[in-house]
Amino acid sequence: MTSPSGIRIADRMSPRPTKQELEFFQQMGIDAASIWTSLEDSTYQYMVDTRTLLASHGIDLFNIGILDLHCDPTMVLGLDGFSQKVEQYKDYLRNLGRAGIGYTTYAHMANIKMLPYYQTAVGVTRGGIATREFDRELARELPLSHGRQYTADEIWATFTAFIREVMPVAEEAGVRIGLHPDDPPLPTLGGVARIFGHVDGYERALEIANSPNFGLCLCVGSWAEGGADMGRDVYDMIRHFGGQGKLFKIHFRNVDAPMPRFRETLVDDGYIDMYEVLKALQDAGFTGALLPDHVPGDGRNTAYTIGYMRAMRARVVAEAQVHAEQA
Amino acid sequence: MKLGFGLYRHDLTPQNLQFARQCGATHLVVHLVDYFKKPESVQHGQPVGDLDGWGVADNRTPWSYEMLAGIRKDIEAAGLTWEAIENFDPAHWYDILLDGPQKAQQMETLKRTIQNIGKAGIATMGYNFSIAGVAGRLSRPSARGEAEAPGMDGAEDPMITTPMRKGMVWNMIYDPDAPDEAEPTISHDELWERLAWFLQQILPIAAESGVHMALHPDDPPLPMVRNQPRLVYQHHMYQRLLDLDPSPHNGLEFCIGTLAEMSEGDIYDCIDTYTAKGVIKYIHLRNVRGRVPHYHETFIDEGDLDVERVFEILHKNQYDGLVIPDHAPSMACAAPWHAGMAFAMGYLKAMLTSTAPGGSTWKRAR
Repeated sequence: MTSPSGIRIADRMSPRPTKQELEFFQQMGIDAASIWTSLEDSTYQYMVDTRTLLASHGIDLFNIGILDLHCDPTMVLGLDGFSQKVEQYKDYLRNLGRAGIGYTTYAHMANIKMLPYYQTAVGVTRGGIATREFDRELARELPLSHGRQYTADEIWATFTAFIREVMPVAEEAGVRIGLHPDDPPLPTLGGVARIFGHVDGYERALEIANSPNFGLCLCVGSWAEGGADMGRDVYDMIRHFGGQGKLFKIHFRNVDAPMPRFRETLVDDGYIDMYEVLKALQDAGFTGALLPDHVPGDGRNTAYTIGYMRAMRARVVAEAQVHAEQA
Repeated sequence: MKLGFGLYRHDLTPQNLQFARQCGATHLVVHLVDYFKKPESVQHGQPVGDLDGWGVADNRTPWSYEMLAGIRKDIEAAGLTWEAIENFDPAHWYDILLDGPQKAQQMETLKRTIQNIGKAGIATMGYNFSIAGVAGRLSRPSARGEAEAPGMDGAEDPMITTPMRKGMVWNMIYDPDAPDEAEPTISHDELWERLAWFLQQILPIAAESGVHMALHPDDPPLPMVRNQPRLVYQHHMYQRLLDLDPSPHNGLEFCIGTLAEMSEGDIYDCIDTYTAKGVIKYIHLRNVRGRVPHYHETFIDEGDLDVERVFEILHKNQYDGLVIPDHAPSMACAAPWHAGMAFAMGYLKAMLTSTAPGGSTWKRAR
């Protein structure tokens, strides 16, 4: 069922979904799916087959991400093989476009897939659920993740080289790229500079890309982790970039507090007002995908989150209609 | 207004109590009767049963204070409040429902039970004064994504028309050795007289014990099921209950899903009327498509009921009691019942909070 708001509720699906998983998505009333897979699935055939399968269940395939080409140290640090990865990325974009999948998420962190740099402890959230905890002070003690210090200039250089290569291909293929912020958003972690933990980083990236096909995959959770250090708060980010039509995808998750230490929470149990987030998205005319991203717990907690999102979306849509009638 | 979760006694594990908290519940409603003894009668997490009902109710032991206090301790250890018990055990009150020889004796047992409930600090006793009980429903893949949900396709199904046999009450067997013949039918007035006697007996005890009695309407809400009359199968029939005794301890277990299934009346008027009276002890909230005899339960956001409008009425009338999803379609995953309930809880949590006065700018704009 298409939502009158244009906000499409989505969730991550496995690369080869079973009948049960497809039914589960249908039952939750999910509009769109995002799939993360590996390089062997970057073929046109896989993409079109998967898109067709999902479409036959009424689910739009919003995105197929390739983990080998996302937060990849070779690409972020400019290691040997950089050019080959960029070429693979271009092929991947062409296949996406040809398969009719018009979006992908990109992020530029070298060490996010190394657990200690992502999670410093296993915390507990509501109802005893084990969850990711990150303590900035503990993370300062971590060794170099990639052998030496990498400066922000170096990371900007690889990002610039990458994005200038791929954006023309993305435009030609009809694929939009949404840049995910750094998680956690710290100036440096494990010796590697991070450049997308502040609104200024996004502004600069948009200038460099200089493309209608380049925008944001705004992770509400990551942005909330940074608190006052981000330049704009998450509601302001949505108004600012949403107003420019630069919001492509939203990760709809919450944390208990900004750094120095945060834990991921269930959607309604963090410090961000998710109603205000959705309202800002509706007001900004957002028409992309809204994903719970990683929900603490299991499929039961995902069902809770999707139910919550569907009710909140219904509310902000009704609110917008009331305002339109009053105007 | 408080969001709660319902659990059956055999599900009162530490894991499930934690799960209720994950789902945003602060309060708990507990079924102490085991309706799930017959595995073949359970379909997709709900007891549906066959012509012999859900199984045998053979636990004649009254609920002791110690038993109740023990359960309360577990619930509170998990950070939850035990708000209500739902349903008496058929084995404890069958002759009260059937006007049988042990009626007076069973009434004395129920009075002691109510005293124990009050002593254990449980605010509400939900009950369903019904002879045939929740009988006659069929499970169908009728909810979104072909999820299984109970309902009915016409009132002519043998599950509804076959007379209930002796030894049965409330869709369970209390006497397996009863003669194989039909329980005689009675009139609706006779059923109301039995209820009146029960209330006359129980309400003074409930009042002095600090326990609120809360009546569930008949599900499915047909005039007759299995040749036995139903008590509250239209909205206005709840008023007859209230007229029997004006005690503040005589209230409603307000099942909005069942009320929405009823063949007559506007569900929003009904909710407005009874919430304005302040007589609702707690609310069951689920969604449904259709009305008897053709209806099916649905996911919370896809039936005929506008849940948003329901919450607006509840807020308008300052309803400050408990809301629980009584049941939900099972979902296709590793934990079908849990996921179905969790989906409903997430939806209700978002609706409850965002429709609260001051809970959203929309409310202020209106």
